[in-house]
Amino acid sequence: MKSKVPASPVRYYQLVGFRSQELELRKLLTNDGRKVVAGNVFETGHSVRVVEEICNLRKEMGLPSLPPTTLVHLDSLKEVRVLMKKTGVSEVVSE
Amino acid sequence: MFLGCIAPLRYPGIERSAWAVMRRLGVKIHQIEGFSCCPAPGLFKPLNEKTWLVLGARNLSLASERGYGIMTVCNGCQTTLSEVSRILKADRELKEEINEFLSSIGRRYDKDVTVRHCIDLLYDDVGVARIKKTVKNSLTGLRVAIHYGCHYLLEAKETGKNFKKLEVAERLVEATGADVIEYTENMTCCGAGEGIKSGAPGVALNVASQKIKSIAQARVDCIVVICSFCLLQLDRSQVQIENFSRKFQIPVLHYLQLLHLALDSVPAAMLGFKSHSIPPEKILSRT
Repeated sequence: MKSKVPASPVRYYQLVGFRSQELELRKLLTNDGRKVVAGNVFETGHSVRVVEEICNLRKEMGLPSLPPTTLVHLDSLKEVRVLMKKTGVSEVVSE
Repeated sequence: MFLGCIAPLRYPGIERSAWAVMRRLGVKIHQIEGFSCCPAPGLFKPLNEKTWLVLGARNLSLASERGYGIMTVCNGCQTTLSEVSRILKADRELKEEINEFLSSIGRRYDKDVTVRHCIDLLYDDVGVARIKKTVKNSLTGLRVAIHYGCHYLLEAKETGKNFKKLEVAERLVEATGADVIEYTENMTCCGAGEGIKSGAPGVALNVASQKIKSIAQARVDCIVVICSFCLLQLDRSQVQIENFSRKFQIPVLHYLQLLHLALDSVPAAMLGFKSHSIPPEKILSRT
């Protein structure tokens, strides 16, 4: 017998757990949140913003205040921006 | 080592522990400069798959040109980088198309890169027996709930592992001397992935709440995750839940932090718990 999908997408999500690709829940999502994150990546190369307290904590722990990524290497950030422009996502972000 | 976004910018304890643990176990890891976001699979893939492939391939090319493999500390990064690597390996035409984009920044992705999750590297290459032998500060009596996270389970499923009987994290946690405690919703999602956290935050919190309730019933001392994003979700959600319903206060830490604590008598400050929302008091008493 074919198993029934529960009416509530939340419950369905909990039941299937790991099978997130098959979520009914996906239908609830819009691109708004995704655009914000993509905008962050365009600006810094990362999905989350730099926070001063974390930079200080990194220093306390003997790490550089910023990781040696696109945050420090601006030529690398430039590369990311070029690729985002060329693939068209930067236009979606600025909509 | 590929750190992604959440580990270095929200939970630097994971990064600090990764360096310490790998050095202690004799695994050579290198820092590659200029990485970006992996990019996040649940966000970028639905938005623009080509961007997802191209940015992923750029990250892979940085490791490839140095002849390195990649080790990840986050399930999302693992999924993106291993999937992009697999897709481009299987589709030459697409790889050429992606390389066209990369040529505009003077890069090329030719030599395939192996992408491995840190817990697979620890389990398969270092081995549980060697970890057990190296433990100096046994975490005996610490009750741990394990959360794998969707992307790890999905990849395990796709690569033919029996994902319902996974024992990688269980054996690795036991190697530290801690006890693995079972709970009913151990295979469910943290609620954050696939863009749920940014797209439907209420739903994300609801899912996390169900999971945390189930863990609380098992009366554990902490939750151990293998993904930075799951850590963020299960840690921060408890504060949000507390604001309108119940106080859980279950500390959440990455496996690398737990292992760091077990391998050395490490000062608490070096584990980076300052950035965690739930103070891990029972764990700090072991430092």
